[in-house]
Amino acid sequence: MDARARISKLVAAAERLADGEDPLGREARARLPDSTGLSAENIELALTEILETRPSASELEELMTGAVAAAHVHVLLSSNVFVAAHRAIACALASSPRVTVRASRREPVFPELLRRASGLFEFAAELCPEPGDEVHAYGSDATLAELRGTLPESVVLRAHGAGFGVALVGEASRRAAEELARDLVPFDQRGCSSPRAAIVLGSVESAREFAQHVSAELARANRRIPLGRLSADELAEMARARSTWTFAGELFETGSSFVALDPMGERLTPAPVGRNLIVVPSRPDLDWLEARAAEVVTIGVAFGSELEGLARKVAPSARVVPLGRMQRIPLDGPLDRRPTLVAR
Amino acid sequence: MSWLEESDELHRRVRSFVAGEGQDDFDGLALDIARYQARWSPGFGRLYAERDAFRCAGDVPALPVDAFRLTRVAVHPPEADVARFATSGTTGSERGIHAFRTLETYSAIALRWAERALLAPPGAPRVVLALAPRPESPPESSLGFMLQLFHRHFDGRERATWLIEDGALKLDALERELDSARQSGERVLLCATSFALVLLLDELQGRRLPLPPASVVMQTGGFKGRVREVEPNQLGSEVAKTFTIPKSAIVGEYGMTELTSQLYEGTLPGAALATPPGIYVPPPWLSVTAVDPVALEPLPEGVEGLARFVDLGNVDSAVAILTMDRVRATGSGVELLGRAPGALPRGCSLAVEALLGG
Repeated sequence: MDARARISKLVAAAERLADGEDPLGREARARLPDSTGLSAENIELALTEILETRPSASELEELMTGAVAAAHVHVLLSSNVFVAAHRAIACALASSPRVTVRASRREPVFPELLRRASGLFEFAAELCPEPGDEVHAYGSDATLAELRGTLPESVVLRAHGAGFGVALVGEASRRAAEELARDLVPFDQRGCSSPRAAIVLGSVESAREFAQHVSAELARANRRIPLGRLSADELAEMARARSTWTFAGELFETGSSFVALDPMGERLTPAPVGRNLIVVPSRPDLDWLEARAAEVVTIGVAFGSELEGLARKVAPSARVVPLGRMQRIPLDGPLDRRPTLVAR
Repeated sequence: MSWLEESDELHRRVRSFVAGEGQDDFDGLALDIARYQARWSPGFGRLYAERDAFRCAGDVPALPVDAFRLTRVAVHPPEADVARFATSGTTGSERGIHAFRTLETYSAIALRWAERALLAPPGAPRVVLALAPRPESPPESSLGFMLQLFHRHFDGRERATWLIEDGALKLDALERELDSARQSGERVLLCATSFALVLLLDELQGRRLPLPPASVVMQTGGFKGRVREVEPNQLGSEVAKTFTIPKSAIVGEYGMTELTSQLYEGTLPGAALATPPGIYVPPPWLSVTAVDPVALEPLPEGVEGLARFVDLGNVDSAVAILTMDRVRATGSGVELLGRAPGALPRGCSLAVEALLGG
């Protein structure tokens, strides 16, 4: 089976999981709320709107062109975004017919269902690459650093570490706020593409107005798709951030999360995970952002505007996508396009 | 009353409290400081929105230390600053600033509690040596300023001895100072960060540097995940062996840039504070509570939580502070249990480490 056939087979497996009428799709809906902590509504959203089940031919071509052939690829998955297993395994299958997956201990369900639906890869409790193999690893910077120290020489490591998304808006429009709220909800903001800050090119007053719009939209979204279970560390970080931003800026509550205005402007302070956002005003040139660009995985902008070019200029390695689609990234390769740590 | 008059009056009342004089009780003074802060600072006005319902110091919402990195935490305007103590920075993080409009209260507080923890018998003359760099002028490090105070008040010699220069330990100078102190029979108070002590031990490679009898080592700061870590007990044993002093003469100090007050271990025989090793004693003008990291509510004694401080010394900054340090309250003080997950490394050891190129 060639790479194209392998990936097509994997995408067909993903389609089964997205289908609520398929037995595997039903099983996914029954088991994933527990393993991910996400609400049932958020699981449904991820399976039906975010899981990449309809890649175009050109996207798949790009995915395959970007892959480097390898005899055996080992994949270390993270638990933050459950559907990310699909993209990670697709990238591995583009490189090799032999793929071994080490699933996250916290979220092993989705890879298991994908394996049952596709039969394309195997599982391992621990990664045991041999010389010449590749390891594709997704996780925290600490996990990746630890992994790097344990791999034998001549194993290629492609490591995808921490990062976050940023929204860039030119004015305090309600439409942009609505689209941004749509990007904040999936995976309760745990994805490396999830927006954690919004930059408003304008005054503090504009930024305040936008923060109010986003909080109103997010409150609505939170009612429609409830926030799931957060870890104790995530809840603690939110509690501290609420007090900090009450003092340092202005806090707008959305029911279960918050939007904060950072009036100091022109700095990037990512909000804690859990559908929270820091809104910051900036002058239009965005020069200050270049120093933090390496941390930004995705920038969401109103497409067709001059902001698109500005975003590409200040963060050349980030994906620039339309607002409202920051979590709906084409299946054209790894989501994170920042320079990958490749170690041998 | 203007903010300045109000601030002056509160500082006066705090210094009286520290001196054991005046009519104030801890809770009343803490609430008056909180109300002053809310009256003159919009940030505190928002944070203390429920201030009319505060009944005790524990009701005052604690400001997380992150705020010191993100914004100015001061009731007074920048032009009134007489000192700005900065937290040690880490790559990619901004440094937190604690601004002071007077250092009179800071000095009274630092000296009063250090006397009780580090001097036995009280008031006896000693040579103060700082295994630290000479502070900038004006000082940017609260530790540097405190060590200057110790030299000025506990030593009495004109010239202070700073034993780190241009990023290197001045081992020769330390040896000369100790020789001289041994000959004159003067006891020594050697103040050092944990990091500097490890460096010294590494440089000495097992060689001993005996301190005169009745000398004390004040050890502050941890390793914060940045350098070769030495288990505290092992470090204590090695320091005691190197300086030929009992382990009880190594007194741990806990302070942070965002606080005005310090805590000490009460291990020194004959000193006013007496606790087992590892228990840090807050002064009467500082309360420490372990709080639940999510609810931010106080936890029962013996249960681990984040350290929440109410520091009467923080008249013009934040009277209640929430840190990322994990603590457990005991009957006589608090046990320090390290940093919470996700916390940025910080501490005086980092500042020394940065200077030494670590």
